[in-house]
Amino acid sequence: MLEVKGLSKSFGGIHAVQDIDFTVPEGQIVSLIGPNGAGKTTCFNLITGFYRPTRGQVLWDGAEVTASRPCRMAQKGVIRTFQKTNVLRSLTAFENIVHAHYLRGRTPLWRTFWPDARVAAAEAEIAESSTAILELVGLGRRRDVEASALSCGELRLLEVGVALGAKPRLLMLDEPAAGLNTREAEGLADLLSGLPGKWVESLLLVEHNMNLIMRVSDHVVVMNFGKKLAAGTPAQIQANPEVLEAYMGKAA
Amino acid sequence: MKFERNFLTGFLLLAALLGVFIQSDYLLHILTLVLIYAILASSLNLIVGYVGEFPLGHVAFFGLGAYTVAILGAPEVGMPITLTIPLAAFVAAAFGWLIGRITLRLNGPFFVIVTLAFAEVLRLLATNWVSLTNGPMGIAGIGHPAVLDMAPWLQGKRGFVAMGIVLAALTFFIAYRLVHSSAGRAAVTLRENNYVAQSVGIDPFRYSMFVFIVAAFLAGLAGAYYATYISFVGPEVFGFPFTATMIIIVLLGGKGTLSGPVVGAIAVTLLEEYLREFKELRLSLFGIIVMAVVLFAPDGVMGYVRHRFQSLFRRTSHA
Repeated sequence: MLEVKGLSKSFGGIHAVQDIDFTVPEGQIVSLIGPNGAGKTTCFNLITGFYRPTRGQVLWDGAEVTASRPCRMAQKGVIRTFQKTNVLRSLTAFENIVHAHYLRGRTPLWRTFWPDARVAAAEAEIAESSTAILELVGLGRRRDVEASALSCGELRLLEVGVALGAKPRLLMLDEPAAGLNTREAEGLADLLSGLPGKWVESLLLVEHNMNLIMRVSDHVVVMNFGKKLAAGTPAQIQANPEVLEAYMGKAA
Repeated sequence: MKFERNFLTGFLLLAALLGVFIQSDYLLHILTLVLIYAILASSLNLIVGYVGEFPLGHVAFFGLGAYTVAILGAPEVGMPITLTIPLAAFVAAAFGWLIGRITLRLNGPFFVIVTLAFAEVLRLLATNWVSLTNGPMGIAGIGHPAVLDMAPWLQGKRGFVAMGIVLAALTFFIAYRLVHSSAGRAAVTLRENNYVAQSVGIDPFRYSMFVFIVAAFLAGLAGAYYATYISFVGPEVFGFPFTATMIIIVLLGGKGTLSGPVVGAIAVTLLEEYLREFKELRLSLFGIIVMAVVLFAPDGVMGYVRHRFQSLFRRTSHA
C-alpha cells in the first residue's frame, strides 16, 4: 500500500535519512525502530509531506505522491500523529475527535451559510463516530474534559483517537507509548493490534517500547544513523547481532 | 450553542424594543453606535477568535466599505445608497481576498505588521488621491438609503437604528452559521494546532482565507453603515482609533465567542460616553480598564462566563 524507495534527506551536511526502502502492505503493522536520532521521525515527515525529500520516492497505491502537501496526504488516507503531543488543547476530548472528522464533514464553502439535510446527516454521523472512537481509545468517561486537563497517558490515547477520527487507511503513529506506564502501554498494544482490518487498513509505528513493538508488529525496520540497518519479523530482529550492537553497544 | 443563539436574538429584540420606545435622539445615537461596533467587532472576532490570527489592519475593510458608499453614492456616480451598501461589503470582500492572498501566507507578528501596513497604505491613498476621495477634506453629504423614506417612523435616527438591527441580524446569522459549520470547525482546528489541522486533511490557507474574506465582507458592511449614518467619510476611517476600539471590544467582550463582541460593544460604547466627563483623562482610564480585563479575565467577559458555565457553550450536543 505504502512504498518508500531510496528516501533520503539532508539538512546541510547532515544526512538525516539515507536510502531508506520499505513497504507497508495492507493489513499489516510495520514498525520503524532505532536509537534516538536515527531518522525515524524524519522519515514520517518525509512521507507525510512536512519535509521535502532530497532524493527518493514515496508511492501510495502504486502512484507517486512524493512531497505532496501534508493536507493532500491526509486526504489520500495517510494520517499521522506527532512525537511531541499535539492535540486541540482548549477543546474537550470529544470535540477533538469531532474536529478530526474534517474530511467526513467537509462541505462546499457556500454550504456554510445554507446547510441542507445532508449536512445535518453528516453531523449526526460524525457525533456517533466520535463517540465510538472515544469509547475505543478508552476515554469515554473523559468525554467533556478539556484536553489541557488530561493526563499525559490520556493525551496519547486522545491523539490516536484524533488520528482515527480522520478515517485513515494508513495510520502512522510517532511514539504512541512515550510517557505511558507499563499497564497503559499494554492497553495501547491491545488497542493497536485490534485496529488493522477494522478501523484502519495498515499501521506504521515509530516506537521505543520494545515489548510493545515485538508484540504487535508484523514487520520491523531498524534504522541507525539515517540508514536501514535491518528488516524482518520481530523474532528475526531480536536475534540480529547488528541490531543488538546498535542498541547495546559493542561487546568488549 | 443554544445560549449564544438566544443571546444574539435577545440582543436584537432588545435593540428593536429600545428603538421603538426611546424618544431621545442622543440615546438613539448611542444605540446606533452599539450596533455599528457590534457588527465591526463580530467581524474582527471571526479572525482573532476563530482563526487565531491578529490583524492590526482590519480597519482597512471598514474604511473601504465607507468610501465605497461615499464614492458610488456621490452625485457624479449617483448609485442609490440602498444598493451601495451591499456593494460596499462585496468591495471589501474583494480586497479581503487580495490582501489575504498576500498576508495569510505569513503568521504571527509578520501577519500583524503587514495587515497594518495595508491599512496605512489605504489611509495615505485616501488622503492623497484627491480626485477620487477629496483628500483630507473627505466626502460630505452622503445620502441615506431610500428604503428609510418608505415609512414616516423610519425618518431620522430611528430609521438608522432599524437599519442597524437588520445589518446586525445579517452579521450574526453569517457569523453563527460560519462558526457552527465544517468550515468554522476547520478554522478552530487551525487556531488550536496547525500541525494537527494539516494532518487531518485541512488546507490551512483555504480556511483562513475563507474566514478572512467573510470578516472583510462584514467589516465593509459596518463601514457602509457608518458612512451613511454620519453622512461623511474622511481618511480617519482608516485610522488607528477604530482599530483600537474594535480590538478592545473583542478582548473585553471575549474573543472566540459570538456573544463577546456584542457585550464588548455595549460596554465600550457606554464607557466611552460615561467617561466623556473626564475629558483627556478618559483615554487613560480606558487604558487601565482594558489592562485590568486582560490581566484578570484574559478571555474577556464572555470567556469568563463560558468558563463558569461550560454547558451553555457546548458546540456539539451530547449524543
